[in-house]
Amino acid sequence: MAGGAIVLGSQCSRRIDKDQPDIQPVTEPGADGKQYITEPQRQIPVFAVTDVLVVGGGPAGTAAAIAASRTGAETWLVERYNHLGGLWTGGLVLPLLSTHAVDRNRNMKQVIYGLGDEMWQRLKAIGMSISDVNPVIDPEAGKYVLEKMIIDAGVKLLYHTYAAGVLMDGRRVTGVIMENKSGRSVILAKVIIDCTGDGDIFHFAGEGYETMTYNLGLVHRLGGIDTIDTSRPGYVKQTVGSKTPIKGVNWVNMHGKDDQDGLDAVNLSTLQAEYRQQIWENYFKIKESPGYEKIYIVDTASQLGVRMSRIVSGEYRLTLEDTMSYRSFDDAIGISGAWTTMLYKGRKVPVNERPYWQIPLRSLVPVQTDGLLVAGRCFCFEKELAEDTRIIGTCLVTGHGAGVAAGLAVKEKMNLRDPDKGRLRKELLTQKVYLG
Amino acid sequence: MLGLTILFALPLHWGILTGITNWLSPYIALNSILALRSLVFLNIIGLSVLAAFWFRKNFFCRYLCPAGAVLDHVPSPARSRKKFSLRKVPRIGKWLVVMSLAGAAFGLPLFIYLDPLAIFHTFFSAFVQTTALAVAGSMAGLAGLLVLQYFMPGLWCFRLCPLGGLQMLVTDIRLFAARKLRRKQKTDLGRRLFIGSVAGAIIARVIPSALAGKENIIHPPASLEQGKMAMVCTRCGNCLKSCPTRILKEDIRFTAGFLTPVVIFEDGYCLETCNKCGIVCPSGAITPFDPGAKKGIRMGLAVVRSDDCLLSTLKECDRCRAACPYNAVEIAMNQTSGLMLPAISERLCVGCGACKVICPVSCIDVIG
Repeated sequence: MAGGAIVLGSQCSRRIDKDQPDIQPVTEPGADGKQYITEPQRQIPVFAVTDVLVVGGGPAGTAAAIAASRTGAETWLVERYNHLGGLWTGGLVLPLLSTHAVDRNRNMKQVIYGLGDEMWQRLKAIGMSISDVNPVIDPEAGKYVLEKMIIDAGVKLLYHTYAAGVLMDGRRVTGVIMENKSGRSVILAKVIIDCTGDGDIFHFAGEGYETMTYNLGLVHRLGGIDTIDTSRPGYVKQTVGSKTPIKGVNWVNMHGKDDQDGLDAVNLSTLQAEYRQQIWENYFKIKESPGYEKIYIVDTASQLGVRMSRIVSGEYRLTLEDTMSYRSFDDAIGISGAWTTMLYKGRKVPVNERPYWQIPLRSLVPVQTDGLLVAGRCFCFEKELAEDTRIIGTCLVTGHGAGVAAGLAVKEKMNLRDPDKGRLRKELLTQKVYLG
Repeated sequence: MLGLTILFALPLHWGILTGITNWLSPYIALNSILALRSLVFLNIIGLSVLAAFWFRKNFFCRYLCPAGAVLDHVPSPARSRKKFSLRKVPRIGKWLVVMSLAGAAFGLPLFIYLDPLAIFHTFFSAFVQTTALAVAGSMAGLAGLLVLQYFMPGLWCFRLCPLGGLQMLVTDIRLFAARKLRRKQKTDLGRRLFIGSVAGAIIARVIPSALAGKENIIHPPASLEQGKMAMVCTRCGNCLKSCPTRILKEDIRFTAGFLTPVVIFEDGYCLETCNKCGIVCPSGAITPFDPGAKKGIRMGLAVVRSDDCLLSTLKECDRCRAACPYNAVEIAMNQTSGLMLPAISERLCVGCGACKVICPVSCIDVIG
């Protein structure tokens, strides 16, 4: 009522009475007992119409955008922060885990190739990656290299933008509504790749999913590690994290509290503040310890380390057994490695005996929603696998695969639910993905 | 029958059929029923055989006993040697039975492990052993019988074997009952039973304190306490052979528990969904249990050596917590060190070893 009067008033220059009743939106109690309002409908501009839209610029999203663009598809990449690489760079989770695993002939070998390897080699070339297995990178160099690769690939990049909803046409997702300083707008795309990590896009699209709570931390970096004087009287070894490519700078991991909901904004805010306070208090303690006077905090991560949140219901749920038995898929989009021990059928499988494992395209395809692929830590797998699927290397592999599949879907009308497996494989191999 | 027994005795993971031929022995069944004052469904096999003894003398030795079948094939000693005479040897088997059962009535069967079926099955548990001593120990029983048979043919089967003794005893009782009915001459059966029983009972009363375990070892889930385990266990190896994660090994310390099953976590743990050892145990040394009850069956307690834990250097790890089937591991702030470290709930931990096995730096122990 009130809204109607305002529109009428502005169009006909009619004055609005001072005591106009009901100008406040009416709140309605929801099923959960909370108060709700109905957001008024409004027109929003179409920001862009494109072939492929990648939401989220973490390792998966960056790889997906480059891969799609390299197939010749017009590609947009939307990222909420001011950098690419997500938790790998901004989150300060610096190790590219699981570059290696054991092949069928029991040889330990590198399995992360394609874009992941390209990023790694570029970082190595500028001296910003250490270690030849599971390398640790410099976060700022990572941001630079990933951004450079995105620009070189011709991907259209939009920073500082949050995905706020989706447009649906029946089962098909046709666009993503986004919110940024310019206001609310929409990007329409033929294929959308959900690389948000939390699966925001498939959540908006009404797709089925599981949720998983996990330990949630905040990483920080300490500087002045090279000034630690072990000869000082009263020196006691302190925990100061692990090496990074920059001399004297360590990254310090945080396990954090168990069973945290990474989708609850209040919880995230509480933890963020609590963790930062904790990091500083701990730093003061270390600084008081003899020999550690000159260390300093470089930074805390610009993003909380949410390890797991949503897991999409995909066409195929990758199982622990698949990853332990060299299961091969005809629609494989890549192979990932292993970085920690696992239990399989009650027996220990140490990291140096862990098989490499294939990931099928089917696990990236949501059951209900068309025109959508899911890459990164929220693709479809058993919860037991989370330790291997949530890490950077696997995100790079699934991102790369999703990008290639999306590109082919647009350029060659490939059906994502029933792909031309030969063509998919050929394109992946052209883009130097390792398929075993 | 011999072939079938070997098939079941081999560690081929038959499930409930693993070593099922062990259940044929009424000697094991009686000892177990008396000692534990309870019986399980499969005991019906042993009791049926016992009932058959009443009507058919020695049919078991002839048709069913795998040890007997093997001993039949031992060649006769060289002709020059003086022939061994059985006549001078008393029927020790009968005494073994009486003493063992009397002991069992007081909680400790004394000679359950001398059952020929158990000895036969033990031989095949050598295939699941990892130490030479355990392999030798497993094979020693049957090998000993073979040697005995070569030098003193018939001694085991007709004089020593407690299962044979049980058959004789049943026959004696049948004859005694028959004579009594006909009011004929007295026998010494009553006196013999009395002496044997008293001896067995006294021994069973005396030895438990000598067997009480002091060492820190882990027993299979739902198994008897160490002293009783040593006497009730037949050493048949059914549990070892049926264990899907191969964590059950023979105890190779030269104590009363020699060759009884112990748990050694190397690269497997006690599966939360498994109850095979309890099902296949013919003597009740391991009590049958429902897998759902496993969260209440304690084998030990996991203890973390925090100094070696990856989390103490802030490395990424939550394997123990993720692996624990009973949610007994929590990563919590350690008040003394200020670090997030695994804390194990003594209330929830059953000592299954999952955390110990998965730990990438092996910083967890399970204590008994």
